[in-house]
Amino acid sequence: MSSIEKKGASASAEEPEGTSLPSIEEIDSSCRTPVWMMFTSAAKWLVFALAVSLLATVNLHAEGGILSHCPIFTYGRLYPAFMNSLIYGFGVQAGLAACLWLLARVGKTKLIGGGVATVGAIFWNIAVSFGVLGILGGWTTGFELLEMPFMVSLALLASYVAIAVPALFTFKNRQPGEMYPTQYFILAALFWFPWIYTSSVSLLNCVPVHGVMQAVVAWWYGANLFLIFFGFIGLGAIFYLIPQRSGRGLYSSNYAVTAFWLLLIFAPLTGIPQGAPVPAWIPALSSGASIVLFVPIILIIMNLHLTCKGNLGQLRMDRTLKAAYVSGHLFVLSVGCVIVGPLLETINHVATFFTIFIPGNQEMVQPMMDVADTTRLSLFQSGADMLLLFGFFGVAMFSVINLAVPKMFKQEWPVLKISKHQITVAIVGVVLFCAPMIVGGFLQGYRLHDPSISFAEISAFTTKFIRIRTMGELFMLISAGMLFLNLISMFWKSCGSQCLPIAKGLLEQPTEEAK
Amino acid sequence: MKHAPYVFVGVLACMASTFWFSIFLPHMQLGVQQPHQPKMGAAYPGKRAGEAAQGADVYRANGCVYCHSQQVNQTGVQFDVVLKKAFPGPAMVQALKYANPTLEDKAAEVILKNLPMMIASGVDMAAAELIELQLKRGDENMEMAKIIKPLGADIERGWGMRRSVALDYLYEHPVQLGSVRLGPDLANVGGRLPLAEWHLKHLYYPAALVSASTMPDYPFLFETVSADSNKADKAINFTAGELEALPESRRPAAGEVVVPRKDAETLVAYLLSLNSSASVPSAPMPPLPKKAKPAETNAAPAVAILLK
Repeated sequence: MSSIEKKGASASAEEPEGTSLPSIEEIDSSCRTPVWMMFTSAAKWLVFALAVSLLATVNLHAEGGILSHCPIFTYGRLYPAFMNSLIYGFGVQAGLAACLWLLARVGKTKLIGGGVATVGAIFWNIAVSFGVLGILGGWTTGFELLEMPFMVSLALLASYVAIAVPALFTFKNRQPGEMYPTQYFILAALFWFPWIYTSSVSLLNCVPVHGVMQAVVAWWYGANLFLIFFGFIGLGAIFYLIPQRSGRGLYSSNYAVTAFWLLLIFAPLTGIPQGAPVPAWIPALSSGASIVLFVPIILIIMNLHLTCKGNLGQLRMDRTLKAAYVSGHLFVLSVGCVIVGPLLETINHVATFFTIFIPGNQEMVQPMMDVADTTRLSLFQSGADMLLLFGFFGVAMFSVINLAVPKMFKQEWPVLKISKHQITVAIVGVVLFCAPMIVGGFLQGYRLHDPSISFAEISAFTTKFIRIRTMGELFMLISAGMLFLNLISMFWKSCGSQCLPIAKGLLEQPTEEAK
Repeated sequence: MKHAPYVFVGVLACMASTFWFSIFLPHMQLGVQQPHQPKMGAAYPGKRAGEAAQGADVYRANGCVYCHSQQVNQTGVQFDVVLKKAFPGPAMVQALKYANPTLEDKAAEVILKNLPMMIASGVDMAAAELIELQLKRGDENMEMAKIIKPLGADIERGWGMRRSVALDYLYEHPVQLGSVRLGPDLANVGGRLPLAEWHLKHLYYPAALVSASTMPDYPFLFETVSADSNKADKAINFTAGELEALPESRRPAAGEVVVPRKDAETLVAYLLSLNSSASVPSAPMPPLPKKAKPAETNAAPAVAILLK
């Protein structure tokens, strides 16, 4: 069923004769350079992104902008810089690093081509820096989530290939046998990103499609990036971490397979908002597909629950397990935000249909709110996006870092206190960020639909929620800073205990020989 | 899930399916769109040129889209029924009464004498068709018009006269639909706020014009020059009240004036070019008042509401 059960009975049957499996220590240390580097750069980008975001939000609700004389410090430039450094600097980079480690761990093989991945990661970081600078300088493409200048996109793609190809070789070198969920989730995500990125960049910049079709492409890219790329890497990590830390196999790999294919078929069709100025069948198809997502998220949450069932004591004790568990729930919540509108609408239609048998009861179903329409063009969407990106994916990555990095360096976190609280602070930040955005977005949308409320009143009302969001950003920033400090100090400590003696030895040896 | 190649082929198939449904099929429909050519007047939408096209770049570079959407929604439509010509006989009076039971004989006669007249307002499609049927019973040769009225909060706020449709964005690149409304919608801003001077003042310091505005000011789009320099003929004429509302740091000193830079001028030209007040087949709207479009001869008659 699952190849993860270490030293299990099933493992011995699959073991190829003649070759000995590399030990877990060997696997972990083979990943050390690229994975540590990418995680650290990702943490650095996270700090940068959240600092920029904080600046942008403060700009939005502070009186008399002091910085408004400089175009770089306006909200319209800071916000896309924040989103892009969060997605490409932190998200994709941390995701790829996690892929490398997870594929090596689950496939019970050493990382192949770590050097190439490291070089790729260096170029990836350079490209993201240029992209963010380009956005701040006003060379944005103007498409949400794809703002980076066209030339930077090419560099990003090339660096992606340099990181993903070692991952694929590592996957190819796995121990034969049934694939574990983590492996196929990550495999799909690795192929998905270059596909969606190339097609949307070329359809938006090289051979631009006509008119509103550009918006359709950008929405399609956003849905695919969030649900398939980030979603699958995060789920892959959770499906590895939870069984591994709780010491039992995944409850059902059939559930995982079903959820995988359902997500892969239907999630990419979502993303076109209801009421968008496109032919009506496009948003209808999109919301129809998002209703189906109800099934995979139920399967995923059942799988996680049944794996941990009766093991709650350990859940409380183990930091990584707890974070992975929370992260799984945040995935369900954030996908829930996508499907709540279409789902309620369907229920409404069904209820309306059945009331034709009860005369005089038609009014009963009328007051039900059209959530998709209400939350459109409000803060709701960015709250839901942040819940998926920082809540689900971010926390999943933090738990991977929490487990993987000490193993790679063969030592505990230097400042244990920081690592103990880092994820808690992050979760507090997510709640403080997403709750006001989702609730406030809902209320804002409700007010936008009431023409008797003036727009100025709505702006003032929305600003209150943005103020609360600032607190969330602050917590997230602190958490990101803690992570970055920890990763850096891990490197220094490891230098102190391992590199320095070697370096000393190298320095002293020639002098001894000279004597 | 034992064989990676099968999984890979499955993933490829899913990729192809999403590309087919989400990109290719919409493109087959939207990619062949042509501008709408009405019987009279220019085709809609027109291509943006000159300063307005440069202004689109300023709009994009400064990320206006992160606060302002460019899409108007509507929740439904209503109709006004206007009777244009009818034989004022008793049958027609009966038909009018049939269309509206609360109508008295005398009022109906007054209506028939003063045609064209609006005889029903804010009715739905079915009711409008019913009224048409009744009127035809009264006079086979009568002439009437059903004037469409889009409904919805956006329309009532005056952000647009009809919902936005795909055609509105035909020549845009990038399309700046926006995803959040921290500021008002701009799909029809050129139609509803057609004064360039207003926009310049608003960009310089929004709160001077709209006291509750949360929009940041954009001083870097402007410069302060002395009143006798050769740039000063473009100076913005603030009224005394507006000058009062400016903060100390933004108020030009005596002998100095505020002049828009090139970017501000092009941005305003772009904003003024955002005008979606043209009726298109997929989203009809009531004809504009005669002043705005003198070309239209069969515009609606003067509205006189006698009935509700």
